[in-house]
Amino acid sequence: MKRLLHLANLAFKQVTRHRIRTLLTIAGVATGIFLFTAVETMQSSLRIATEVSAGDTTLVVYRENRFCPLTSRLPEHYLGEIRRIEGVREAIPIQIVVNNCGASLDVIAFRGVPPEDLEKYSPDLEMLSGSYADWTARGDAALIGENFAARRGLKPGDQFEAVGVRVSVAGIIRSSQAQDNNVAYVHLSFLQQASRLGLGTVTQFNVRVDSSDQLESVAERIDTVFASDTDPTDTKPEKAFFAKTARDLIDIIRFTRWIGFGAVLAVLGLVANALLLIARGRVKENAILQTLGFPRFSVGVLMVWEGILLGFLGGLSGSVIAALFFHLNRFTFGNEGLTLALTPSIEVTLTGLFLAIALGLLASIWPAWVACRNPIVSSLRQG
Amino acid sequence: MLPFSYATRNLLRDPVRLIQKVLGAALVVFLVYAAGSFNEGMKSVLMASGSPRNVILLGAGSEESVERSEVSIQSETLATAGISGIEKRIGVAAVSGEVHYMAPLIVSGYGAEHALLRGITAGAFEVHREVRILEGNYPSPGQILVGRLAYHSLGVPEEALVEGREVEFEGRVYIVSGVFEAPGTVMESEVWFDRNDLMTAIQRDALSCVIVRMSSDDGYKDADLFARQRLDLELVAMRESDYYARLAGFYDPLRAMTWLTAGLIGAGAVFGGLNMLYAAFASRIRELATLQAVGFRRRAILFSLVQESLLATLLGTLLASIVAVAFLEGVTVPFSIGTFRLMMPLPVLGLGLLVGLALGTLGALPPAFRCLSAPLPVALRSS
Amino acid sequence: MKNITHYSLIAACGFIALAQIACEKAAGPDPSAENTSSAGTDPQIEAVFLDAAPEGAVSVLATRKKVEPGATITVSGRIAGAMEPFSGDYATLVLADDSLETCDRIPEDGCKTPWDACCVEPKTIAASRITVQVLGQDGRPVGQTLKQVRGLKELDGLIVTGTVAEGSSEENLILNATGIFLKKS
Repeated sequence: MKRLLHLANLAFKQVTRHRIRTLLTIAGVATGIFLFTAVETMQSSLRIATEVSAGDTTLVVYRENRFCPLTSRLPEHYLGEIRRIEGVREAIPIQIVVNNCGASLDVIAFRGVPPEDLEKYSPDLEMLSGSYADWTARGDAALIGENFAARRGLKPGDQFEAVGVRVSVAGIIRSSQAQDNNVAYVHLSFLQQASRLGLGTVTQFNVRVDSSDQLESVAERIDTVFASDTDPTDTKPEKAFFAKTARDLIDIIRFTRWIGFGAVLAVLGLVANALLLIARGRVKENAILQTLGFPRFSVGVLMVWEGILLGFLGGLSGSVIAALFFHLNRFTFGNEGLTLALTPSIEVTLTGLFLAIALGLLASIWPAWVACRNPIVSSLRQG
Repeated sequence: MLPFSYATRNLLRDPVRLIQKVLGAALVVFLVYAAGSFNEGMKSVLMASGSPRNVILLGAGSEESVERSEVSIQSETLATAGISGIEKRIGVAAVSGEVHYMAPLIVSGYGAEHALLRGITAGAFEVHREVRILEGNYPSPGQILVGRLAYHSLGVPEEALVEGREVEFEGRVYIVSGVFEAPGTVMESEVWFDRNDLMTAIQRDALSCVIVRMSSDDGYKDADLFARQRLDLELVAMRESDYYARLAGFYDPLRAMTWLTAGLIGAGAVFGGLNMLYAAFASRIRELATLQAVGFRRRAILFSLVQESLLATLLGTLLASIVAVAFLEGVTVPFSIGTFRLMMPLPVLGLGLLVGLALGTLGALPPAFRCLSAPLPVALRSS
Repeated sequence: MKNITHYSLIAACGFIALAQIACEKAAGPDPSAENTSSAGTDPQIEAVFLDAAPEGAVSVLATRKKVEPGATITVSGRIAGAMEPFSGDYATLVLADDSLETCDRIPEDGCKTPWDACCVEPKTIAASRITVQVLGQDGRPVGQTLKQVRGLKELDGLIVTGTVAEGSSEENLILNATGIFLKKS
């Protein structure tokens, strides 16, 4: 154990001896790990948004055969009938207005809800600044999700306009429901009028059921009730709805997985390349070490430690920079009126770091083998 | 000056290293081509889709997306009568009132997929001069006309959307009456319906927009005047080219991300390459010192080193260009706006070449300076 | 070596000269040499402005109640009721009723375009405005904007006399102005 630590110390000295080479390798590893962490952040944000988990109790009632909120129109009076269905704990009508249904990083979404119902429907909404009272008091007031506010630099009292709608910020909210953090909640009637859609029509209904195992059965019941109406519905768990609707977004993010793989391979190649260069350049030096009494195994372990160190330093820089990058920028993808916030998580950051260390270790195996296999005499003779 | 053969012989001395350099440079340049062609393809399909002679009359507040817009059906006749300077052919005014709608279609034998639907009248061909029917006829009620790339957006084989095939929409079956082309525009990915059919199917009594083709490039003023005089119609006049330029701006963050990703991967490759060059030149310090001792100036040696590096990177650039032109150019990418083809116009090819040149010259300079900066006696004694 | 320096200097001078010419072209013609008629307001527009307020002005809302194309009316209002009440290319503007609650009348409203009255229901805005235009001799609106003519800007109060244009209705009133008076604020 002590020997291993001594070798680690020696490896550290070797690494710091050739500053330029070390810095270049660390920079390369950091770049690769940054990419990997970025891709993993996107993948994990997408997983959270689309995989129905045990605690989910939300259904989305949408117009059948519609995708973009611009085209889904349901009569507001459906609310009463939905509330009467067995298994429904609470339901709320929502009018959604977005600036564009295409997939992009610059989507603005308004959600119009009856002001008296929001608190009842989402009791876990945390008011970070401003107040509910301010919001209910004023017709054009808006409650802005945390990410949205950070992206646009808004605070209570500010005014902003988008999509032909002008609102005044009454408060900033945070919620456990991902969608809530990226949108602006306004009064339903205000939005219906401001967006010229007229009263009495909404985009969708969000329904909370008594327990998550009732999701499928309640959804079926709701669709059966309205099946023969002029506006038949299609009800799905919220996450399944997202998975089906935000097609472009999901395609883009799934594609980035390949970039993640590529980044991992690149890091492996970079570290292996750097270590091979080290091995080739230290042939004589390694022979001298062996002459002094270092066993071949130690020479190999030295190389492995260097690989681990390079991986660790590069991985640390890359994953920390990636986490900061996402934390400061709060990217939000939007598609078909749904939003996906890319939020960094400790798990992803640590995964990047440990992966870098593992890659450094893996990449060092061949160069270590090469380094300790060289015959001593011919290595000493090398000019 | 050192002879050119010196550079070539040095390169061939270590074939493995040469291949590494060439492939590394090829990777970086290929990434530049990939990002560049993606950007150019997306940008050009949006730019080409809008003509500066066409003016699009949208509902006020819907300038960002025509799908959101609602325009009264009388606006078409009122615009025809009220706007002066509309282009005419054989006495027919070039005015097209259209319905733009995104919805799922079921191609017979396949599943449901999103498509951009456009409800048109014969006036559409007066306004959209790029459109040409390749086979079949203009759609009668119960028929649809499909764009040449619509099969791509719908994810079906080309044969599934030829003349005579069936498509289901809103519970009704439509027959494909023909295929049209509109090279380089988003229209090629669309499915065109008879306007009355579409409006009936989606229960809509308003148009999305009225597009007017003016007889001169500055005819926009007259359409704008009409919109301002008819406040009751609540219209906004925009040049079609401006509308699409705005739409292109909406996708800017996504395009920036593409460049960022390519840049990061390229940076990783550059770091690895620099590492290799440092090692390669470092092992030749004595050789270079010997050349200096023999009488060659540092300038000449530097020039030769840059020549070597350039040769390798330009070979890589050539390889990347061949692969890019063979495999990238012309690849169709389906996206929310429509399908576009990856394009490699001269600016993109030029950029790739520039990057190759920069890699070769700038990449070689730091390691070369390092090797040549050592004092001659020290360098001659190095191992 | 001497030759290279010599030719380089000539080339450099050539480039500088070319750049100079290009810059001049980009800057456009000398403003002082401009045609006086394009520098000032169109005389057809100038002719319409009045120094004294015309009598018998009614509100915009009142004019919308009964519309007779060809009738002469005098109406009082403010330049408001749209995001861009002035046309950039023609002599038209949007005149809104004095009662329209533009955002400048709302305390603590930091709106950058208060004249669009965005806090008001769209239906109310639509019912409270008319189009005012100055016709040229060809019977079409004069091809110059009214903005900044005699300092005209958004939210200014005006009294306008003119004839109701043909084709006007209760839903859309266009007034061909024969007299415009700018009210002092």
